[in-house]
Amino acid sequence: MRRLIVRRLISAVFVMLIASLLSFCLLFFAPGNPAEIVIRQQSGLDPTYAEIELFMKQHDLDRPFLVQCLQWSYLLTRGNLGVSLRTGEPVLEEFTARFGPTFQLAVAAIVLSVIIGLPIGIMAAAKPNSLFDHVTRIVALGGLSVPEFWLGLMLMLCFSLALGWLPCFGYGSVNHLVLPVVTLSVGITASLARFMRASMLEVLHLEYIKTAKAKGLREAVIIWKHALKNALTPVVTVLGTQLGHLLAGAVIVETVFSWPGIGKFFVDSIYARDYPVIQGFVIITAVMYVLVNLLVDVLYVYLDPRVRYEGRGQ
Amino acid sequence: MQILEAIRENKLLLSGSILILVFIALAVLAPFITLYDPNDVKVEIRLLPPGEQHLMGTDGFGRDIFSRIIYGTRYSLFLALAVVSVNLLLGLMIGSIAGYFGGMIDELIMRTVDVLLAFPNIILALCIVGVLGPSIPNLLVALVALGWVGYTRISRGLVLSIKEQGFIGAAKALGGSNMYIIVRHIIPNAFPSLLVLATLHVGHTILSIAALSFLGLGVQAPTPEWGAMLSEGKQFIFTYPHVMIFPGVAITFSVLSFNLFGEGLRDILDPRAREVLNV
Repeated sequence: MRRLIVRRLISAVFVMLIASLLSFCLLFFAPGNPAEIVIRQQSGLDPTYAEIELFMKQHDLDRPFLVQCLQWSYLLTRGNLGVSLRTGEPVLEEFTARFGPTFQLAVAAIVLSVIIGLPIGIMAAAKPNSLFDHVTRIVALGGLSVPEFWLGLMLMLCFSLALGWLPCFGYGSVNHLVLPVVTLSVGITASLARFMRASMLEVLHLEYIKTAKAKGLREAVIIWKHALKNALTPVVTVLGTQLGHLLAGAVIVETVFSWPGIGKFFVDSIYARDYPVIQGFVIITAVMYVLVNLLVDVLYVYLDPRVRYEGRGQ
Repeated sequence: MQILEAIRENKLLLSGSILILVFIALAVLAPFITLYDPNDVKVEIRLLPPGEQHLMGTDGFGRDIFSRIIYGTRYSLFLALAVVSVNLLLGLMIGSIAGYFGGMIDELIMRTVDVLLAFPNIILALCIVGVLGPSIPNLLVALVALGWVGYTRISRGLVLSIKEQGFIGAAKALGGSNMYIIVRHIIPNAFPSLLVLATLHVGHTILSIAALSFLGLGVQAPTPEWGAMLSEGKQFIFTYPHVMIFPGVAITFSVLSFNLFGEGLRDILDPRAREVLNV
């Protein structure tokens, strides 16, 4: 257990290092001089050569690449992600202020996907090659093939415009939550169902299931009690990797539904070429990845005693 | 013949390949299928509903939506196939080097891959396009920048098992150089398993390109690309929904065709999946 944590922490530090290097390099790849872009954005005028030089001196932009990179990393360790060019507020504060709506969306989508996706996967695995199995397989493939942004717009068209049941834009009530969450859940539900089915089929092949059958247990008990416990463990790991999907989905879904979360803020910042925010988003993505995977690891150890005992044996 | 047999037996593979062939045919034969130029602006017939003259109606500039969708097949298919092939080749090469040489090189490559796998593909692509500016070349750069890592990881695993086999030892004993062994023996043996991943990725890439273009950060507006068409038509969603419906259907079906094909291919090629399915 301790070894696992130490290994996780080392890899977490490594992820953060590369992430900060990546996000720092982003600015270096930017065409033109960032100083020029920043000044133009702040004053709205084309800067003179002297102004650019002054700005570069003030912000240490005339120092060598490596020095700048180290400086940036140093600020980063103190939680300083710089200041948004658009709003003038610290980037970190801009993100934390918008984290709530995105978190709401993400949690609701995960819960909905688990509630729908897992039972479908389990039932499909219980009767492989049945009609239910085939139909759900095709529907799941379809769910993975629909572009999220288009699905969101179509749901809007159907439920807001034609039926008038739900509001199409904005944030606030539970009603506002329904369409974005459904849009975001479709892809995740489909992949969870597919993964649950595969994992369940694999477990149903093991010896102890044969024993349970020979014992004369009812199939429902075998599947929902004996097999599910083991089949669920790999699915938990997949939930962790779905975070990436969730974040990417949130960026698009928030933009489509004008949802005031970090995803929409990120896209707006891209349009405005707000470099510090774009860089900050890379870092924040990495932090979230590290945290979620730590959580998944702990859950994994909790769910699968074999992992614990293995650690003790060594 | 074996391939044809397999396609006939597996329904997923069959429907997938038929759909893919249809899309390829549409892309190649676009000028013969369509009646109108996809970029022909005629303001007097803008926003016509679907009808006999214009099968799917016209968009906000009076352009024929059907023609634009057919021509759009070229962009989506070509760009996605290009991105996936570059990623596949790059990943195969880097993964083979990592797996074949092992040691420090392996460690360095794989740790980097692990970290890059942590980033959602499309987020970094958004960042890259956002910084470099939207254009087709930048879109390709953004999708390749992270795309190769998945292939690298899988090729490395494949190479590790291939290099222990007898014929690699034989090639070494015959005096084959490392480069020769990687290119002539390792890569051809690892390739088929990567093909499944690649077909599934084509669908995924079509979606990414469409999403980026929809956000205005991929293929730009007058080009008849499906995502860009949706981006342009967004303003008419509540008034003239036909502008929005058809390009989305086209995206969904093109992605679905590659997903069906990949899924069927996996059934056939992955022995573990086959074993599980037979029981």
